[in-house]
Amino acid sequence: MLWNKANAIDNSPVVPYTEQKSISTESTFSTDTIDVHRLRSILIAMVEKLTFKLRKEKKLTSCITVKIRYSNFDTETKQAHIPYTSSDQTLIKLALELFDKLYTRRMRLRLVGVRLSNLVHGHYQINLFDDTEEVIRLYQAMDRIKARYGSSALVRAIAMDVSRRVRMDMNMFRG
Amino acid sequence: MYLNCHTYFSFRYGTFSVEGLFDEARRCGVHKLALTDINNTSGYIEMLRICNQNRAEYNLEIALGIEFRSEGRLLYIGLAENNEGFEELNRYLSHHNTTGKPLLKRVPEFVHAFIIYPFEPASDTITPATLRENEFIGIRPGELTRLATSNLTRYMHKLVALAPVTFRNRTGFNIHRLLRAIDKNTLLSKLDPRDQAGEHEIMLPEKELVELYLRFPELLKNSRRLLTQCSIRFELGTDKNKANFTDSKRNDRELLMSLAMEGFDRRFDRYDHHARSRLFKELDVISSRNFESYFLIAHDIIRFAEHKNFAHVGRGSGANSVAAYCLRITDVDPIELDLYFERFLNPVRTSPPDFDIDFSWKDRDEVTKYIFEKHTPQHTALLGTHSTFKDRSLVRELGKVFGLPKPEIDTIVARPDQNRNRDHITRLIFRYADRMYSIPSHLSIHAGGVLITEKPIYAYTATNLPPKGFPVAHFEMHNAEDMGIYKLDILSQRGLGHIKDAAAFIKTNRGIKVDVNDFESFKKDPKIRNLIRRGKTMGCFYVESPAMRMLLGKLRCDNYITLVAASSIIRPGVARSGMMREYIHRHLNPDRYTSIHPKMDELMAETYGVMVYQEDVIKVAHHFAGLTLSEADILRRGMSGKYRSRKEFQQVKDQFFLNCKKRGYPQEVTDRVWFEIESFSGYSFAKGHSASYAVESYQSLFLKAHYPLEFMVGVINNFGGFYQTEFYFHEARMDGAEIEAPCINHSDHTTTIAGDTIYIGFIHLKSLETRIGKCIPEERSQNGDFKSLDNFIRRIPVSLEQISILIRIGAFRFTGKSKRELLWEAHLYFGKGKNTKYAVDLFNLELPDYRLPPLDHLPYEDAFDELELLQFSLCDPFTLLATSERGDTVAGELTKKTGKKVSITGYLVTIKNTYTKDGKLMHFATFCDRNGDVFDTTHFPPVAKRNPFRGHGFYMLCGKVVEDFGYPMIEVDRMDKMPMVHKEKPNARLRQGVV
Repeated sequence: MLWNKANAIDNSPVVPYTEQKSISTESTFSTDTIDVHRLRSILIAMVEKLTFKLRKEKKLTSCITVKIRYSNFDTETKQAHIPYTSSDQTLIKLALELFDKLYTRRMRLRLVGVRLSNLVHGHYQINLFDDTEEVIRLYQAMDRIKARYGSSALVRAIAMDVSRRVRMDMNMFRG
Repeated sequence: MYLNCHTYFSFRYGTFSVEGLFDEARRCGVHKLALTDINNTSGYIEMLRICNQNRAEYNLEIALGIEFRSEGRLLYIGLAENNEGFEELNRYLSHHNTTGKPLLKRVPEFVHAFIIYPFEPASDTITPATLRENEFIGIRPGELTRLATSNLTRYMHKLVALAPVTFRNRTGFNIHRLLRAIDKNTLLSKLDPRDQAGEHEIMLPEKELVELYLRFPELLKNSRRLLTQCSIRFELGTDKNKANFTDSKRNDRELLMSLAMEGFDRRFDRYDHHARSRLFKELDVISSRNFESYFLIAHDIIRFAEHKNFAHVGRGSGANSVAAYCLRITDVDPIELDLYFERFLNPVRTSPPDFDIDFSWKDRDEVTKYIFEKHTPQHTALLGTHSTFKDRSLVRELGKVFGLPKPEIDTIVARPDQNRNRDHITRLIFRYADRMYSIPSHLSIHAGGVLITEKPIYAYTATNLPPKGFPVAHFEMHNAEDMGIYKLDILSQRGLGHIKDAAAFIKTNRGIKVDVNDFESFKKDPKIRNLIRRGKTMGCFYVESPAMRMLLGKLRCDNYITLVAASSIIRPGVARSGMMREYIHRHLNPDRYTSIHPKMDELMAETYGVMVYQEDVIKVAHHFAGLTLSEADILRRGMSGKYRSRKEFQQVKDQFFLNCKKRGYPQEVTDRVWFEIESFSGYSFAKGHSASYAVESYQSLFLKAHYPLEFMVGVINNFGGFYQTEFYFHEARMDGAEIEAPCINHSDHTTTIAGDTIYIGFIHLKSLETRIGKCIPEERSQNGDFKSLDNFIRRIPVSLEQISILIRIGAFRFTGKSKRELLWEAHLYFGKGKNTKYAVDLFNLELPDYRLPPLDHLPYEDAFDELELLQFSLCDPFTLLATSERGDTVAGELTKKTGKKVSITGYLVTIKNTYTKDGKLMHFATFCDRNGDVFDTTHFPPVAKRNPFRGHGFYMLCGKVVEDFGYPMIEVDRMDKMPMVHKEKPNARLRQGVV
């Protein structure tokens, strides 16, 4: 067999192997919206959900993309490359920054989405400067609860309404 | 205690109108407040006026100040202790506005003004210990809890209660947020809270305010003390203009007298007693009102203009004055035209007459500059005006703030009524649009008003420096008038430019020096009469539009007096009410019309009893209805839309009807007369004003009659005008000119004329860079004519794209080579990739002369190149018409075919859209026939709907010829667009030819 292989003879069936390249989520609204406060909370909820999934699958990401679609169907995205991470707080901060940079036109949105790509297997590297032992333990504890009771069991307060169903508030003056 | 109130003159910030703020103050029992608009002093005159007028109602005193903000952040609030303090603040703000330097974080020392810094000042150096005696720190109600724990409590005497007032209630707050979002060009929901005022900036009754500051009563005491120390005193309505032109009133009077007498000898016969006594009467009135300096300033401007050889036209009500005529401010003889003196100055009117002085658009800025230099920038400012949010623009802005995409906004704006209730967003937009209607949005510049004040201008206002480069005052026309500052209007127009340019062309081209001011002989000139009668007035100032041409045709106008009347009755109000028709009818049948009332005929004998001019309103009100002159003046002002108060106007109207009844006029006569008066609403001309325009028209007409080609070049080079440039060239061709495409050895940047040949200027090549257009004639005059394409490319830095434009328009036709050959050469020169190449070539090497295979030339190629580059073709447009169908008549024959059906091919000149009474679209259009003559058409709504216009080009028109007062028009029943010749793709053919 070794000889065969050395001579490039191999009769074993071809099994395609693909690895998941990215994970993403997006949400189209029932009515177009400009409620920025709400949009931000949706983004946070999305990132929370994705990062939990990431950690569950023991993966890390190095690229985050935010996508918006204006009410005239113009779709725009913006992405950022970062050191490998799966940390909520880094990615949430980044997602909001990207969103602020991306959403520049004075027009309603009909969709927002987040996508994490460049995935690799691995565990989170603790950042020497930013992470304290407390924070790490907090996240580990949160993940344990989520793992046990489902990912929507424990969320950030701002994202509380969002995880149910993306319903838009009608009051234009909120924000 | 309210040290910090904003009105909507804090542009795109405040929401209160002046009355709104006052009503709020009354509700809250406030008797003194400080108006501090943001970087602005626009509102205070209006405030003082309302305060004075309704003293009993509001019982309110105001103090003045300015809130200084830089990039939206509050720096400090300045409160004027007295008028000097106000001037200091104004000077400080103006200095920063005009120099463009940012406002200081810490103010310089003010002598008569108090400064209040916010709790969190912009600079760390502002601490209670470093505050000057007149500087304080303001504590807002929301900051009280933080105050309790801060070390500021040790400096209680330096703290004041600062409760800003910006809106009335929650709705007001929302309006404020919308305004901020519009200003910041962002979505409502993305508006940064730091860019908007706190939600609680509303006025509270005194008692509630005391409760808010319960823990620190001293703060309120301090601010109350501060407010009592501030007061401001202005006497509204007294003359605040530059008092003396020379050093004293006496010298002014003597100077004016001597200038007027000198002018009188020039203008009139020495022994003309009638004119002389009128002049003396006027001088008496001028002197008793102290208007000498006003006249002398105007005269000085004219003197400067004459010295600089700038043409001018003086108009406005000042044109009704003999004194102004003698001083050469105006050019119409008030005696000859029998201009109504009371329109010029009436005993009850305290304001001086307006002088509107027009200059050519090229000269105006220099005149303005002279005024600023002569009277020093300290005392001079342009008049401002407040642009307000109006229907469409407001809906558009709100649409953007609520995040609607542009196409949606377009549909909402186009059909507001259908979309009002479309969804909750449009409902919101319209609800707030109604509330925000006519809130001022920004300060802009009045069309021409210049203010010259006795005290420095900063005593009354701060100034901004718009891009035009002259400081502009913060208040607008009515404020200025209330205050007692009267404007001089220095306006710009294009007519004077073309007259001056045409005269210059005549001098260089024909060597004839024409005197465009020899008005007396123009009036008798048969050639001018002929021109007006035939309606050949294209290009002539004020009389070139199709409507005017038609009117002149109907009036069979051929003299000056009729032209003066025509320029007034063409105004929309008069034209619409049917008085235009009435006038034409009476003019044509002077002895066969039924007059409204003998008194009307007597008053307006010259215009057959029809009210034509603005002063006719005064005449009728005074003599016919027996109103006093001041009431009549209110009526006139009301008519021109300058309502001071609707109430006052209504009173005068009632008085009018009452008087008429008393005088025993039948009701229908009174109604009819009132109807005529009403039709003057909007904008109508004083007779002197019309006459000034007519003089200028005559100058244009004179030039057109005798030197049509030079005249047309003048018109073309001044741009503007009613028609597109194409038709001015067309008109010149009809007058016998040879029109040549731009040529690098003949054309200048602008259009030029040599003999009968007109060379189109490079400026008309839309895609050619201006730099190159200016560079070509310069280089030519320095180093001689260009010898070849190669020679040109070596001398002028130019890219392949730009040289192609010149080649395609035929600018190199002198070389004798075809366009295609030249294009080959150019491509060869630039080679591949290198687009620009320019270096002074030492040896002037000629390129090798390649022999090109024969290249074919397509028919119409030149015409299409011209169409593309100049937007019109130089050949007769009818050669581009694909079919030979030309209809059965031409424009010249229409008069003979009245009532008959005709068909005619026309080249579209201009369309005027209008709406019938029930809101349906209809058109009036003007076309050019195959001989180049113009004719007019009417398209009633059914036709307009069935056969709409489809752009520039040729149309086949079928319809009936109708005559209105002898002027023929075609009532179109059917219109079809006709095809142009097919343009073959030159590139495809070119390739075939070469391969």
